[in-house]
Formats: sequence, structure tokens, C-alpha cells
Amino acid sequence: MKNHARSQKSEVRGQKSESVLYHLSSVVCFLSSVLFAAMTLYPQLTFAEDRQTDLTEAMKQSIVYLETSFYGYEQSQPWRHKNLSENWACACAVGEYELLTTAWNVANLAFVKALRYGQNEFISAKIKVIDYECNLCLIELDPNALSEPLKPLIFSEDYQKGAEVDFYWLSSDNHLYNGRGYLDRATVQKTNTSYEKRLHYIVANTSHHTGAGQVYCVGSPSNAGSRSKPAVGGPIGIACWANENKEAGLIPAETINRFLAAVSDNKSGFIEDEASLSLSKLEAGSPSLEFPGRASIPASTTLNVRLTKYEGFGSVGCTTSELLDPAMRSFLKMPTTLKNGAYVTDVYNLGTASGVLKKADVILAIDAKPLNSYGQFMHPKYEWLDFNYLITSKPVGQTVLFELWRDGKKIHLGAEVKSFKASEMLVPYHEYDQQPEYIITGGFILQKLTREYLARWGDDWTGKVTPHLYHYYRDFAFKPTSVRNNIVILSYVLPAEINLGYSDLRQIVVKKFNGMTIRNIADILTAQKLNPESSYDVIEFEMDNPVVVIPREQLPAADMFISKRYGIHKLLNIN
Amino acid sequence: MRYHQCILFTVLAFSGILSASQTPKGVPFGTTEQQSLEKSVFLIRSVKQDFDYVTPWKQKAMMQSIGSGFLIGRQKVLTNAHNVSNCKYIELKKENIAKRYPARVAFIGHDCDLAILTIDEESFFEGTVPLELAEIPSVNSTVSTYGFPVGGNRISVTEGVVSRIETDTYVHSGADGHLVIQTDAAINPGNSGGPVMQNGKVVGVAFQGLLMTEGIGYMIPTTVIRHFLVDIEDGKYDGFGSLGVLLYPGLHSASYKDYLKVPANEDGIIVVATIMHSSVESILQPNDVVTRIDNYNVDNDGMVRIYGLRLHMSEVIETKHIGQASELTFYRSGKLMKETATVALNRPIFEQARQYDRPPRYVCFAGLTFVPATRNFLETWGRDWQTEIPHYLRYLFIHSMQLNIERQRKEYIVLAEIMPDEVNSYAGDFRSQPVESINGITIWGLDDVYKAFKQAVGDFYTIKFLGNNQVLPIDAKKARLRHRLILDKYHIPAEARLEGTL
Repeated sequence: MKNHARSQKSEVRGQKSESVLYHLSSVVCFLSSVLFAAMTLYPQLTFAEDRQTDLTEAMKQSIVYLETSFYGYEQSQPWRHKNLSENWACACAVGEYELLTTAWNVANLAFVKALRYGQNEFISAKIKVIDYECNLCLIELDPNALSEPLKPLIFSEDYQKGAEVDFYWLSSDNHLYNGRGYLDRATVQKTNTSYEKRLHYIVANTSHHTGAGQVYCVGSPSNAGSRSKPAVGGPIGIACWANENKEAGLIPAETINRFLAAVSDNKSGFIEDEASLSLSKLEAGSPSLEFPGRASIPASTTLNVRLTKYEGFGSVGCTTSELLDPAMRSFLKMPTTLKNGAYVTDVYNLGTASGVLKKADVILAIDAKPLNSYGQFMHPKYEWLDFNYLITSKPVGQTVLFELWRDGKKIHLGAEVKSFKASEMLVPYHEYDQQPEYIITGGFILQKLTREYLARWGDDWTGKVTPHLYHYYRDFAFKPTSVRNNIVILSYVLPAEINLGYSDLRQIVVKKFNGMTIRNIADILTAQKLNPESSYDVIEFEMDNPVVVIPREQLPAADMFISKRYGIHKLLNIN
Repeated sequence: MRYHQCILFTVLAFSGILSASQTPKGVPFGTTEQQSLEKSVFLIRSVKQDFDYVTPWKQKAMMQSIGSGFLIGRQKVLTNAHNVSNCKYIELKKENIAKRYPARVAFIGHDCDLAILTIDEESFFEGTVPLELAEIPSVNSTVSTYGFPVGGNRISVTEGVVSRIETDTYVHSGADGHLVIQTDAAINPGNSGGPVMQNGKVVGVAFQGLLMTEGIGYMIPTTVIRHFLVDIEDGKYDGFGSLGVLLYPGLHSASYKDYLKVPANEDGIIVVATIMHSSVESILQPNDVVTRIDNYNVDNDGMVRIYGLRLHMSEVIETKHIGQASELTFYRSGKLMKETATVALNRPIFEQARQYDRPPRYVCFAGLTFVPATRNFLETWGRDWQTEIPHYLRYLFIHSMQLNIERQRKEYIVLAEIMPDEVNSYAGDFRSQPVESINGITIWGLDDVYKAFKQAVGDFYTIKFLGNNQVLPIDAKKARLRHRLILDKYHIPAEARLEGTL
């Protein structure tokens, strides 16, 4: 009998983000409520049923419980899967048969099934779209398995700082539970599946620990008013992390709405103008709850998922630091009247800033919004936000305008918003849903270096991994070039007669294979065919390391032996 | 230079005075050996004060240490360096006599953990008997250790066998490896510096133990002791040298051997790299295979047969002194070659061995304190320094041999501390980072830092750091104005210490 109070997603999930926050494997919906009912005029409520006093009832057809199983790969033995692990998560309906949850919940997913309120049998489900960058995932249910469609939620981009929020979750034994918190602030931060900083809401003082799939609702049932003073609001986001300080982080409505708009034809819920809080009108005749400035909750909506090229949203492509030191400003020849701006410390080869910004630029403003010396700008709704938001909230292809201080003068530059996938990085941030790329030859495990590989050293892996490997991650992860777009390492050696004398080599970086400079793991395959007259494959490494010499004649037999002895059915994997 | 990561050694110096002492066993009171040893083995008490490597004008708290030592040769007391390193005061005491004799360090070798003390008061030597050095004892033969473990007033004896003889790291410096003899005769704190005897002669100096084990103690063999004694004959300790070559036992791979065209009947060890400025730098190349060193044949593990034992070929270099030569026989692409290499200190650019007895060098300008990057500095991060130190320092510490390609570099310099003042308020982000240049002048050593700040500049001193894209600009006029005030405020006696003084 599964207990709703089961703890956080197990460690087996692998990826631990660099922050001290817990990772939520649940989806949480936040509904915002208006407490200042007297200030607004509300038309008559037109619920199908009178649900003002019980939000739980309202949510029952929209919250779904998920059972997930995972089957990722061992970084240290990339030919084999990790042990099967199971977990549970929450999702919410965004279409009649479509669910929204966090990408984190379904990274390396093997199988998922859903449970809805009032139905005992599991419903089969599959992933439709995943975006690890904004940490969202769209899941599709089998319509035949549902007695009636779900009630989709429309997310409201109304931001009421300080508002009371409620959260709900559906347990495995079909009960809907609820807790409470306060919408504390908005912040721009990394989500646990991505390297870019995006907008998140922070909820403080949560009454229960926000676990996997707990749904947050805004407005408590006890606050429910009368017919003339409605207290119901709308979902404002889904949760993606929780910490020990009773805080939870939400992926906000605007990110969700942008994601849904980008992946479907359905425009309901999509806010085109960020300054406006109104939603596009629904089909005439459908009963709905409408308030000026509030989210509408339609009776039904179909989400037509459009799986054309989903490009996602912008990546920043540079790092900045604060510019507080007056001596530094003077050194950059900035006039004393110019007190704002953030200092560009590094520019990547990927992302919006690449090819546009330069090191030692000072970003004074983006899209005419001035940045203070902490790199923040004043958002009309969210107040001070990190400037990353201005790029990561824009879809790819749009333009962004930089006002810079460069070489002693002010300049203006326009740039196209670009993004990149984790796999394009020199040291990929993650390789979810994929088998690591490797080649085992003569017992030598040659593998592509990724952050996931380094993270297997544990929590403080940054201090434990071989510094030469770490320096690629720290200083060059975002700088692939035409002469090098992967770091290929010798992970370690599976001892066999063919590699006698080399068995203690490990974690060294491949420089050349048969004289060919290795740019990426696929190059190894090409290099193996070079020098056909030579009896050997020769591998050279970076830093001071011996040369690995493999006798070609013995390779086929040795590879067969190693494959059998070590239980490796697939000696190579190149994606 | 490798340092051990998996085995913890303890240095057997004991702080404080304890009354417990080992139960003596074996030698009955009044026998000849017992009597001569009370005339040869002494209790050594010292007061030490370590240096501060972050704010290097200060010193740390004082500590007491107890160890043993014995008379060797004429008016020379031999003990471990770690008993008397960084010491302010040393006192010797004989077993049955109350009197205390102040002593001082005549010679000290931190790379081999040995020191010679002299006692100014001549009367100390009346009635004393120097001990003779023997050769390396055989494995499984019996030895006895004499000393003052855990303090006490009487010489304690423990007996055991020689368990093993091999090359290992000497914990005192942390980065130097020499021959050690392992014994199961109990060696405890306080024993260090005392003689280990066999048939009335010294076969070693007890000096370190092994944490979390029983029956494992170590002594310095007489080969190392003799090397030390010969070295100091000219009045100056030069130290143990090396060839300066990085080796790999790769000939176990028949393919590697064939690829390097080494004749089938030859064994040897493969050269991977040579240290900059070493004599072998111009002699050996990567993928050379060394088959003989002087008259010793090198096997595929790099071992030679010496003293009737199979030891690493570095043992041959251990028999030589700085400046002496060694003949190397090696193959290069199948061609047999012979060259002579000179033994030198060959220290790495980023010093891996702990330093003692020399006040740390530094430059403190406008509150910015610069020190050379050394192991001593890294160890200020505490017990877990190897994983806690900032990435770039770790990268340099482990790989300075591969990362530094500039021949004129003497050392790396780190911004160790910032004594707060308005002129350096924003320097905090750069603490513990290695310096690349100041005002465009590359910093090759501490002297360059001093010179850079003495130079006339424009409006700013711009300091660039390795592994960091940001620049630290210091207002030059303000810095010069406030420099003295900062030194006074923090009671810093001098703005720099460029040469270590004893």
C-alpha cells in the first residue's frame, strides 16, 4: 500500500544539482487567489456546481498521480543499465488527455502509468514532448482508458506577491490532500535539468514538505467567500524543487504557457503580451469563470500537440560578474555618472551572446531595460530580476538588443536569440534518455566526457575528480570548436592479456589515435581504419602519459574474450 | 612527485609530557648493552613554533615535543629532523642523570628526516659512547629499538623482526621517498630519533608508524644515514637528488615493447617525460627505454638488484650526491645509446614537500599579501585540503610539471590574504588565486611582485590571475598613500620578506 507521504525521489535518479535544494519529483499546481475581493467587481459565478467552498473538488479532475520507472545507464559501465528503480510523481491536466509535469520527473524514463481521481485502473501514458531546458514535459494518456476527459487547467500569469497558496496532491490510494504556503518572491535561477537560469516563483512557509507530485493550490477552502466574494483563483505554476527551509520552487505560468503554445496549436492560455494579464477568449458558450485579470477555467479544451521543430527558448551564452568596484569602473574608463551595468567575464561559443559580446564588455541595458551593477533589471511585475531572464524567456529567433560599454564607449548591438542543446556542449551537461557514448577496444574503455560522468564522484565531486578533467568542464564546457567538440577519455581498462601493463591507467584524455587528432568520439572509428599497414593501434594522451599500443591482429579475439568475460554485449555506442 | 593518498602515516613526535612509559623487556638491568646504551641514547625535548603561511609575518602557537637521539661519531647526536624542526629550544637529558643540557641544530635534512645536534657544554660528552652503524639487516632478523616512547625517564627497549625493506614516502616532508625498513618492534611517539640495534650496532633510526595498524613501525636505514653524514662533511647539507625523469613500467606490454623496437632480450622502463632544467632534459626523450643505470640492470618494473634486494632504480641515485654523475643506457627507436646524467635537486615548480625552519617569504602591499604557492600554504586548508583547495591551485599542484612551459618561471605566487582597507575592499573575490601578471608584467617569482609594486605606474595596478578572466584594478595613488597605514594598523613588521633567513 503506497503512502502519499513517501519521501523524496530516491538517490538512484542520479543527477544532483549543484544547489543544496531537494529535487522534487512531483508536479505541483499553484492556484493564486485574490484576497482583496472588495476591490474588484465580479460577475456572477457560473459553475456547473457550486464549488466555491471546496477547491479540492475543483481540482479532482485535473490532478493525476503518476507511477514511473527508470532505467538509466551506469556511467562507469556505460554498456549496462542501472538497476530498475521506481518512483511516483504528480502531473496536472493541460488538455483533455494531456498532462504536464516536470522534465526532471521523467528523465531516463522507462515506463509511466497514470491514476486519476475516482478511477481505479491505471491509465497507460507516454511522453509527447520533453524540454529539459525549461524542465517541462507533456505526457499523453490513452483516451480509451479514460471514462471521461480530464479538466484542463489554465495557468494564470497573475503574480500576487504575498498571496496565500494551497497545494494538493493525489495519493496512490486515490485521496486528494492539501497543504498551504505563501507566494514569497520571483527569482531567476537554474533548474535542476539545465544550465540556464529561468524565472521561478518561490513559495515560503509550506505547511507540509512539498514532495513528489504535491499540488499547490492558492487560497484555502476556509477562506472561501460567498457568492458575491469568490475566493477561487487559478494555477500559477508547478513545483520543481523543495528544501528544508519549507520553501518550494515553481516553474511559473508564463514558462508553462509559452511551452504549451510552442508545442501545440492551441492558443488558449498563451499570453502574447507579457504586460497584459488577459487571456484569449474561449469558445463561445462554454461555461467558464471569468474575472478581469484572472485566469479562465474553461469546461473543456483540446490540446492539439504539434510536434514540428520545437526550438525552445534562448540561451544566454556568457557569464557576468557584478561591477561594484569603483576602481574597476574607472579602469574601464566609464564616466562616474554611469553607475549601472554588469561585467562580462566570459563569452561562450554557444548561445545568444556568442559572436556578439566580448570579454570585458559591460552590459548596460538589454531591450532598453537598464541593468544595475548586480546584473539585475526592474521587472514591472517581479521587481529586481537577473538579466538572464530577458534572454531565456524569449523564443529562439527573436531579437534582443544590447547596450554595451566597450573600449571606452557606448555601443548598441542586436543579436538573434539562439539556444543550444546540452549535447552540443564540449562537456555535455546531461545526456538524459540516451546511452553514454563509448568505444571499448582491447579492453580500453574510451568514453565521451560529460558532467554526469564527473558527478558520479559524489556530492563534492568538483574537489575529487582529476583536475585535468574538471578543468575542461569548468572552463571549456560551453566552448566546442571545429577542432574539438567532445573530450574523449580513457575511463579505465578492463584487464586482459592484450592490455597487460596498462591496467592502472584511468581518467586520462585522448589526444591522438593512430596519429589523428581526436575531435570527438566518432573520430575514433575513423582513426581505427588509419595506417592499414601498421600492426598496431596507437593511442596518445594529454599530459605526461604513456602511449597505448594495441596489436590489431589480436583485437578480434581479445574483444570477444572481453565481451564474454565482462558480460558486455555491446562494445560500442555512438549516438 | 607522488604523495600517498590511501595510507596515513604518523610522525612520531609527541606533544606534552606524559608519565606512562613502555614496560622494558628483553635486556636485564645491568648488562653490557644496557649500560652502553644509557651512555649513547638520550631524551630530547624541544619547543617548536610553526610558521603561518597565510599571514606570514606571524607565527603559530608553541608546542612541546619529545623524542630520542643517540651519539654518533665525535660529539654529534643524531635524531630525526621532525623532533627539532622549527624549534626555538632544545634540551637533552641522559637516562640516569638529572641535568639538562641545552643543544642546537648543527645540520638538518628535512628531505630524509635526520638532524645532527651539538651540545655546547663539553661535559655532556664525558662518559658517552658513540654507536656504530651497521649494514642493512636481513628480513626476519631480530632488532631492538631503544628510546623514550611516550616520554618517561628510562630507556625503553622493544624487540621485533625486520618485516620488509622497500622505498616509501618520508612523512616529515610528505614528498620525498627513500628506503625504509619496516619492523614489528613497537615504535611509538617518543621513540623517533632513537637507534634500532642488531648485534650491538645501529641498523636504523626509528622514525614513523602507521595509523590504524598494529605491529608496523619504520626506521631509516643506515644507507640513508650514511648519505646524510657524508653530505654534511663539507659543512653544508645539499640534500638527496634525483635524475628528474618520469617513468612508466610499460614493457609488460609486448606490443609496447615491439612498437618501441626494444630488442626481445632486453628489459627496462619507459621514459614518459623529463623535468624542466634537469640534466636529463637534454639527454632523454619520451619513449626512450632505460635498460641500465650505471652497472645495474633495470627490469620491467624499473627495479634493480642492490644490497641483495630488489629495489627501485632510484635507489642507485640515492647512493649519489648532488653533482655526481650516473651513466644511463637506453634504447631510442631501437638504437642503443649511453649518456651521463647529473644528479640534482630537481624540485618541481610547485613545491610538493613541506618546508621547515625558513620563515615564509611574502610581499604585503596595500594589504594584499602575496606568498609563493607551496604545500605548506595548501595545508592551511586543513585535513581535507586535497579536495578543499580551489580548483586552479589543485590543478597546478598536481600538474605543474605539465602545465608550466615557461623556463623562467621560478614558482607560482598566490594572493593569500587581504588585510581589509578601503583600497582593497573589492579584492575578496580574488583571494587564494594564483597571480598571472601585474600591469602586464608576468610574475615568474615573488621578486617580480615586489618589483611590480615598486614601479611607477599609471592610475592603476592591474592584477591578472591564472584561470580567471577578471582583472583586479587597485587605485595606485590611493594604494601608495595607504600602504604604510595598513602595515601599521595590522602590526606588520615589514612589507616584504624576500629571502628566507634563519
